[in-house]
Amino acid sequence: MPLLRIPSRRRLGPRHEQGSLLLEVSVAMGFTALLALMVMKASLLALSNNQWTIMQTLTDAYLTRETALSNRVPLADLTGATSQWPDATADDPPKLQQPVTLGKLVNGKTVEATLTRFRVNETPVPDADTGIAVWRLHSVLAYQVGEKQYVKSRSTLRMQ
Amino acid sequence: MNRGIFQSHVRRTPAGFTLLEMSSAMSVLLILAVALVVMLQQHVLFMEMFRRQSFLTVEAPKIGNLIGRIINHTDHYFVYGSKADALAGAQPVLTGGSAVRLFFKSADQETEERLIAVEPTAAGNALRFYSWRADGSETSWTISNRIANAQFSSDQGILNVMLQGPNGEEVTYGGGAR
Repeated sequence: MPLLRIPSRRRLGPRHEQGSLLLEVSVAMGFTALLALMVMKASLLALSNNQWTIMQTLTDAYLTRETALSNRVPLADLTGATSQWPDATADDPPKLQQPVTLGKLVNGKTVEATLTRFRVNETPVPDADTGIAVWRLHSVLAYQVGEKQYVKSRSTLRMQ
Repeated sequence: MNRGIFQSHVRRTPAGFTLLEMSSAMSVLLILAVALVVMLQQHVLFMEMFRRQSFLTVEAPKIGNLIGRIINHTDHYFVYGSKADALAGAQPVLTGGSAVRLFFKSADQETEERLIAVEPTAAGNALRFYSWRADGSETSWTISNRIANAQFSSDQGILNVMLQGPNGEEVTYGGGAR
């Protein structure tokens, strides 16, 4: 009875050895490809999130100016013929639409959007005889993130 | 017993791999290594891109929040070309200002004055807020030291603060409409 039997490579069988490298390589390549795809997907997701955040920063900043301006504009100008917030029901055109520059991205690329302004008479009917006119000034900003278009708005109540 | 040991020595097979096997293995390892290096490079590139965009994603909203809280409580303001002009009470400007004097109405109807100014630092510029104690001594804090520049302007009755980032970014906040 043999005390020590060292199994040789031949004893494992030639059929088992043949092609094992190819199998291991295929598995390794598969894992690498999977890892690459996962990393790429995570990076693209982070990139789109960043793009979204940047657009929120720029649009929020632009709308702080719109809010300030809508609070500041004199009522005589607001209800005048050349109002920056036309009356949506009475004026022609009923709204003011113009392209605006929101700001600049990294490396100075400008970001554009479309601003729409209009005002709506919100004077309560029972108070009509008091001579008080209440206007709601709407500023609507339409912007694009990737392929999709989004809209953000602010409104200000002014009383005359 | 001895026969078994003898048999194992007799049946020795040649150890190691053939040149073809080694070449194949090394080629594949090389391909895998290159793929991983490319992935790492790409990841580093993305991280660098995110770092460059951090002014607009992180810093600008914080500055805008602070600036908005301050200037929206201002009773009135004056824009100056520089902090020195503002302190000296020089002629105010409408555009291209580097400092703004802000006047607030206190609860007892006293007027309190504050100052926001762009100041040069070793890394670029900083936006600083100044106020004065009752004894006249100055106190200040930094709104942000990650800006490349900032400009104040008064347009259509509102105060605009245009922030410039370190990589050419620009964002403008408005307020001060009271």
